[in-house]
Amino acid sequence: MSKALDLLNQHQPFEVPEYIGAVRLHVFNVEDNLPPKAQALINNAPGNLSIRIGGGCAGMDLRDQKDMLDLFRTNLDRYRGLISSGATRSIKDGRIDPMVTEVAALLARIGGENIVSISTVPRIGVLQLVGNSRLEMLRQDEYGQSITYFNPGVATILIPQSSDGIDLGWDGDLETYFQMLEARRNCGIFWNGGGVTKSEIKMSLRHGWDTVLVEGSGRAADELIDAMRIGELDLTLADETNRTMYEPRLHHLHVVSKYDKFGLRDKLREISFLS
Amino acid sequence: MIELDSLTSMILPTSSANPHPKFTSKFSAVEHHSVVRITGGCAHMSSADAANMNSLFRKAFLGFSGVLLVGGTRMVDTGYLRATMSESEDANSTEEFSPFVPGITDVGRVIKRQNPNCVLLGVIPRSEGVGFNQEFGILEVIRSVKDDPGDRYAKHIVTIVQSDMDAISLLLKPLQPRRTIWEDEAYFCARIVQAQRESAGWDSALVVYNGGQTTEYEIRLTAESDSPVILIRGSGRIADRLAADAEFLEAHPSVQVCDLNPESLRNALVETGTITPPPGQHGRLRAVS
Repeated sequence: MSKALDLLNQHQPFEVPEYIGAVRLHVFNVEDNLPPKAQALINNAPGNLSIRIGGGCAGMDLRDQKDMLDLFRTNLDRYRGLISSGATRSIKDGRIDPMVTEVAALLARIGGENIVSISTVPRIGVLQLVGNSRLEMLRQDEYGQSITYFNPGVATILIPQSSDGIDLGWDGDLETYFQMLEARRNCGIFWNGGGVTKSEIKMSLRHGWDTVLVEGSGRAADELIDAMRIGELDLTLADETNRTMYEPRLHHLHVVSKYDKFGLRDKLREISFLS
Repeated sequence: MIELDSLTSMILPTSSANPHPKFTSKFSAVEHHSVVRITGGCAHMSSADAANMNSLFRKAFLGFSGVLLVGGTRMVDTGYLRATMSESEDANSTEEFSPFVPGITDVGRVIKRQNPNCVLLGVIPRSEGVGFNQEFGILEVIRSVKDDPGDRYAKHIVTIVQSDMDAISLLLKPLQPRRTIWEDEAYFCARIVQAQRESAGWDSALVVYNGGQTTEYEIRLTAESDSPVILIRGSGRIADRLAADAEFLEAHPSVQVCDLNPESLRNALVETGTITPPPGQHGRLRAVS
């Protein structure tokens, strides 16, 4: 079996692969509902299941990152439904630098008609076409200039923006993806991650999603697993005053180990996300 | 006793031209990937034109299992209703009452009752609100002349929420400057249908019975995007006028004309792919002599 990263054509990080054909981009005001065309794509996804992959890969070396992709491939290759994640791609030395956002692209590659891939990214800068019709997002802030690359390995990218020009921030797409998946049965799988991922995990639990944290993946996922085990998992979001604590009878939190080769698959079977 | 509304399960407000995702999520519940928007005459339709309308649609749509998109309201004569309710205790009364003003929005309910596998969705354009009318036990759509300058009806004619809907989208704001709220409804529906066609590859049809200015706006909006339109010739007003307009038909090849009978309408629906014939059949109704 070829390694997962090889399936993503890692030396052509800006190319839209043939099996995707063309990536659909929907830019819309975050205050509005999703555009009907995006809704039509979501409703046309096979079955009624959605999996959102969240997190990051900070602190991991390339070997770890490849292992992460292989783990998702091994465990999710029979999944049928909608797959979503952050719609960015990290590129280093002209190659794909495999982050967790590549999982949706990977499943789009191996899933064929069983997968509809719709990822999200907030508009946090200026969208510009450069070079050979390559879309980038240029951001200028107190830390200097940065460029975000879009992931051309997913079929559709939703880009919410603020109608009044206010910077949405990196968590500006959370509302969009929770809204877009509202009518489906959802599972959030979280690997590693930082502050935004913590918010995503809390929102996932509070929306009633099956929420799977991968133990051993690092940072946000491991921190929240530890907090859960000592009974101190606080699900309160940054802008809230009333505290909401994790309650096992209300919130569907699952833990799998990254060292368990088929642990994720078994868990997804147990909660009926895989047959 | 007059049967009033069985309530709609979901009324979903939206402040933009984009429906709430729970509204369009109903599209994933149907077996057949087709959406039919039905539009035409309501308040200004004559009773002669409205005669047999429900029967026509009930027969033509037999076996339909896609999505129906219609207006989410109907009009009721509360004066008539009040008189009827007081007379209903008279056991000797045999007169049949209908407090409802005939309108095209009723046919969705008629089709849904015969074809429970289809999904019936309604749209209510900009209004001040929806409130429960305790006297009659109805959900009344509250709207002023400011919202609808064309509304010249007597106060005893009220607009209520249509029954038997799987979901209703309630538009909270005007969508387009210089357009009426009814044109907003047409525009809102056209966007949904077009999205299903282009993004999900669904079949669609706009079926037109009778109608006036707003209906003409919707016909042209749909025809100019090359989406199928079926004009029912003989239903009156704009449907008849455009069905006889050779220049219009030639310029818009996606528009077809059918006659005012169930066989002809069904055949036109089969042509658009919105009704699938059962295996081994052509799906067409035979004319009954």
